[in-house]
Amino acid sequence: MTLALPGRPLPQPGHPVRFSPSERTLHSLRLRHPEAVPAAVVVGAWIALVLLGTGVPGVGASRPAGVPAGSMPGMAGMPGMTGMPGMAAAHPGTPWWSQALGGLPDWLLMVVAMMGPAALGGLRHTGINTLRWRRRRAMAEYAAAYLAVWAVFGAAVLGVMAVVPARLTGYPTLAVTLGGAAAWQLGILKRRSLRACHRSVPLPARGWPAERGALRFGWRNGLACVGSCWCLMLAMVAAPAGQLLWTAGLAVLVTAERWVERPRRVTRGAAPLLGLAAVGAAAAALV
Amino acid sequence: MSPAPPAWPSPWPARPDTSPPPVGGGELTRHLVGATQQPLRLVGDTVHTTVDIDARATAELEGEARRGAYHARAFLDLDDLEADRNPGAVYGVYLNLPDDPSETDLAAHHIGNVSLFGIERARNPRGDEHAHGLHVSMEITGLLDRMAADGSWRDGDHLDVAFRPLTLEAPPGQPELAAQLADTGHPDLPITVGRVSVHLA
Repeated sequence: MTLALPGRPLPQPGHPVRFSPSERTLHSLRLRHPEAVPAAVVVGAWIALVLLGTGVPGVGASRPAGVPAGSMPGMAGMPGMTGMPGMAAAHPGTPWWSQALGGLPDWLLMVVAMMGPAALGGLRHTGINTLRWRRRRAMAEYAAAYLAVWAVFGAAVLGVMAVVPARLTGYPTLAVTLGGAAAWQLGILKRRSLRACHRSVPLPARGWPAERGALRFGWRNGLACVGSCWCLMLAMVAAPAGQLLWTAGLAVLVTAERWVERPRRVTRGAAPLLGLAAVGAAAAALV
Repeated sequence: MSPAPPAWPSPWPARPDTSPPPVGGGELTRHLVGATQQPLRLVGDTVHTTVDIDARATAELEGEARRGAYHARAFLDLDDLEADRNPGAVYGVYLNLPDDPSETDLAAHHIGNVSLFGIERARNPRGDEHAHGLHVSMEITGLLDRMAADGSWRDGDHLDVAFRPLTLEAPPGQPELAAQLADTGHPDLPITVGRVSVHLA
């Protein structure tokens, strides 16, 4: 693979033009770590979330005036959220499906930031097990299928939130979702889903089988990821304020579950913490 | 300095003239150059498959080699090995095995064995660890060098991979035992080889 440098002569047979040390380092990095570019995308997603959440002038047009900093883009203006701290006024008369679809871009931005670190393993596997000339396409296919699963889940969640009455949202909902998340952490379905996150599928080398293989891998990984993390995502969505902090905290948990050598310690260790948070949310609801 | 290794047939990239770097002196970067398109199913019979070598991938490596990159070791990988349980069968893996091979041919073209010991625990570990698939990697550099040197390998576009069930030989004079050992079938517990791939490092 040639690094494009202006003025650099193309190598001719018998007249080798050798890599400079810096070229060799960069080239080696790209070959050994195909997940480097997706990792940069994840970092960019976090920067976008922070800027949108803090209302930097010129950025974060999706956050209407009056919405406090730390509120998630896309969560503002949803029906049923009137009067909630961190949420802007609802838009009466807007169909629920319109609000669900309208919130999807911000939802996907949040998914990229929150789930991206955990998905880097699958992206790396796809990259190093694909012919180099189609590596970027294969990794993009994996990412597209992975995000498609989360988009379907997100559309369902946003659609439900659009029709839930305001009196049922807020701290009571947060308490219920946190309690459910704590219980899910201890269940066998969570464990099976987390194990499924580490399964790979055969990746054919060329042609339509190769395209289907990358898409299938991303889809299956996405399904396993949703199965493992759906309760945590609901808790994050249900938080009436400070979603950025919730996103960051839950992203650390999700990433730790995927990366550490002893995942059950993390999964089971998070359960009492989520339970305590549920108690705290319930107490806040009574105040 | 060791003699220059024999050239492998096109489209394999040209081999470097210098001796290989010491093993363990640095991490090898493996490059996929070919893979099967369909999974394989092993049920106790000999199975052949062909790995097509991708000319575009090898051309990229050829270009890197002219810039001083070092690619001289080849590996054959068996990816995503799956089975409900270990059928107890062991398969020998052979590269470019001639038709009706003799014992000498089998020995010369043998690159490794594969068994599914541990398949149950790989997917559902008892302890606190992540699940993983079974994956086998075998170096084929020496065999490719020998085949290139003796001229028996001229078609660089394909590599034929054969899976032959291995069994024990019964002592002479025990036909019942010999027949029992020759029955290597396990149709109720098929082994799936997700992909056979070739890498250059």
